[in-house]
Amino acid sequence: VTTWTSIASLDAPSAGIFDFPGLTLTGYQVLEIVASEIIMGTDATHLCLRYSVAAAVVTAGYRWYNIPLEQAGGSNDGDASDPFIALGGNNTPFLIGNASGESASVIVRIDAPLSTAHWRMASFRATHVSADGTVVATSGGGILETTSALDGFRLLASSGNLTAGKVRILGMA
Amino acid sequence: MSPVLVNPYLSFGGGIPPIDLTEPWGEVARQETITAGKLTLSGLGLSGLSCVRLLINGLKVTTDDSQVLLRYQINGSDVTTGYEWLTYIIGSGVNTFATATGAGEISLTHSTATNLLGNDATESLNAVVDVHAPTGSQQKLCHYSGEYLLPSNNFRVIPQGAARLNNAGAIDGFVVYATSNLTAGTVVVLGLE
Repeated sequence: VTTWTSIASLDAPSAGIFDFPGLTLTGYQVLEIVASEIIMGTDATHLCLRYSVAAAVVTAGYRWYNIPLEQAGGSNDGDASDPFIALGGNNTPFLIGNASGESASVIVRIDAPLSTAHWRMASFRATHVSADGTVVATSGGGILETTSALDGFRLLASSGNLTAGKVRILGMA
Repeated sequence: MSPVLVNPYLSFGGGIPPIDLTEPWGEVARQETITAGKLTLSGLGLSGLSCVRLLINGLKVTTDDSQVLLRYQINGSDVTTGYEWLTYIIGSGVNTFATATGAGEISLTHSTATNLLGNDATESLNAVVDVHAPTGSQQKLCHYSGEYLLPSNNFRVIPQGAARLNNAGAIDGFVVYATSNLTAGTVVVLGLE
C-alpha cells in the first residue's frame, strides 16, 4: 500500500506568507497541499499559490480557472496570465472575509511535480467565508507555463498578509 | 509496514483503535455498525489535528429518494443548528445545485425529490469529506465530493460542495444519516496533524 508522506509543515505564516522553498520532491508522483483555517489580514482579498523552480519563486506565467459558488449563485473566474493561481474567486462577492470567525481552507493537488514533459498543473477544492459573511465553495485548477521541475510553494494573499493558519505538504510516491 | 502506534492524545468511541498518526491521514476511528439508522462516531479526540477526512463508503438507505446528511458533535452532543451548505450535482442530464442557510445539518446530496439517493440493490453513496481545523477557533469549514445513484433512472451523479458550521466549539464526533434509515455503509475518519 502506498501512503502519504509528510514533506513539510508550518503552523503559522512568516512575514505574511506560508513559504516552502527548496523542497526535495524526488520520487513523488502526487502532492497535496492542505491549508486549514487560513486568516486573511485584509478583508475582501483572495488566497493565492505560487510555485518555485530552481529555488526561485515564480511570479509570472500562471493561468487559472475556478468556479466559486455561494447561496445566490455561481461565477466563472479565470485569468490567462497572472502572477499566481487564485485559490478561489477573485471578484466580489466571492472574496475572503476577515471578520471574527471567518477563514479559508483549501486542498490543492499537484500531479507529477518533477515532470519536464508538460506544464505544471494544480487542481483544488476550497471553502471560505466571504467578506459578506456567506460560505463559498470553489472548485478549480491552474497551470504554470513551464516544463521545469518544481521545488517549492508559496501561499500568499492577493493584498496584505496572511495572519494565521496551518499548512501541510504531503507527497505520494 | 509501519508500526502500529496508539496516539496518546486520542480517545474514541464506537470504533477501532487508531492505527498510526505519525503518518499523514492516519486512521482515527471507524464505524461499521449502524445504530438507530445512523453511523455515529462520538468522543473523538481531534485536538492537534489540522484536518480530518471522512471516508463514507457504500451508504444505502431504506427509502427510495433519500437525502444523505452529516452532523457534527460538540461535547458529545449533536449540533443541530448553524450550518450553511452548498451542494452541486452533475451527471447525465443533471446539472443543478442546492443550498441552505441556518440549517440543522449538511446535505451530502442534493435536497429536492428525484435528485436524492435511490435504494435499488445497485444504488449507494460514496463520499469524501474534508473537515478543516476541527478543534479550531473559527467557523468550521469543510468540502466534499462523491458519487451516488439517483432513484428511478439509476443515473450516477457526482456531488461536490462545501459547508460551514457557525460555531467555535471543538468538534468531537460525526453523525452520518439520511431522511430514512441507513441499512449499510461505513465511515472511516482519518487525521492529519
